[in-house]
Amino acid sequence: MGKRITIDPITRIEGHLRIDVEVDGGKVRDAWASAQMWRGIEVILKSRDPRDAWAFTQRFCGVCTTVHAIASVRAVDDALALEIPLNAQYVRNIILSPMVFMTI
Amino acid sequence: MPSLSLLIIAYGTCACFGGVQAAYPNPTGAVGIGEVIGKDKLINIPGCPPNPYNLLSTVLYLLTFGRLPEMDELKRPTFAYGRRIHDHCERRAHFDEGRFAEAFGDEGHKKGYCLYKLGCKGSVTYANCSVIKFCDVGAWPIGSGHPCMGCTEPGFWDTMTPFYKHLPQGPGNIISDAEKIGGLALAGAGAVIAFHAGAGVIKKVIKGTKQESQASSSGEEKS
Repeated sequence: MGKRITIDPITRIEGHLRIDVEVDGGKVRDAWASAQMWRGIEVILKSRDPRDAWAFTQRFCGVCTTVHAIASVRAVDDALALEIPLNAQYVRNIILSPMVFMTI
Repeated sequence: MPSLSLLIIAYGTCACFGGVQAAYPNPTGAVGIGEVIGKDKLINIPGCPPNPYNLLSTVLYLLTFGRLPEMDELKRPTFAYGRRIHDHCERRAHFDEGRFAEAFGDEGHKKGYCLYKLGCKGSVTYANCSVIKFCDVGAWPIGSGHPCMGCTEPGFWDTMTPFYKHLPQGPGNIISDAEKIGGLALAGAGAVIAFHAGAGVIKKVIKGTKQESQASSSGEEKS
């Protein structure tokens, strides 16, 4: 059994993240990432208008907001088996691309 | 801690009013800071996101004048939250003329018409977004063709949703518009009509009524 390092909370992120790392002989043997705070957004989303879901979901994080929004929009698209117009796809890609630059 | 502080600034709707996690059914019992420490030393700067200039302006006000800015009953500085989005909205003229976008991407939407029918909550939301906007480039939701979600108001996740459905009742401003245009007579009926169609229809109704009354009075003369 090696040494265990715990970093909690991880800073520079929105919400809370904890990392546990098990080190043995200078090598990482195992690692765990866990979110330690639960706000219940999934519970809050129940019975609401699916068009609103993205706005709730994206509030997970104030830094990587857009990816959560797009993930939520895709989930609704998928659930309703919607076909996405090409222009909509362009708009989504344009929205996502600055996100990439912002978060690196 | 609050007793040692001169005052506390709650920044953002979560800090001010509990925010998204306080939305129904509020699984974690989230509340705003005022519920925890009391509201005596509190300044709320809500918004989701809040406007950084409102924080900056509040701090500058405190440093410059050495006193609290005037605040509303929700502890929001009135210089920033004293007027509605609607009051200074760049699309207001379209609202007054009854020109509405009926669907995203339709002709009215492309022309920049009022977003009231797409669910805009600017008429019941107190904030200065329509004046100072965001990110130093004049960007803000309504400018991009998206309705206001009312994010500076307490409980907006419950009171302003569904976001894409227009307000369930005619807000007071439509009545006051009706007053300006044609007097109080139709205000009661106007509010009901406003719920369905907005101020443009009220105008037409008022104009129509005038014409009708003229017609009927002239008819009486004839008879």
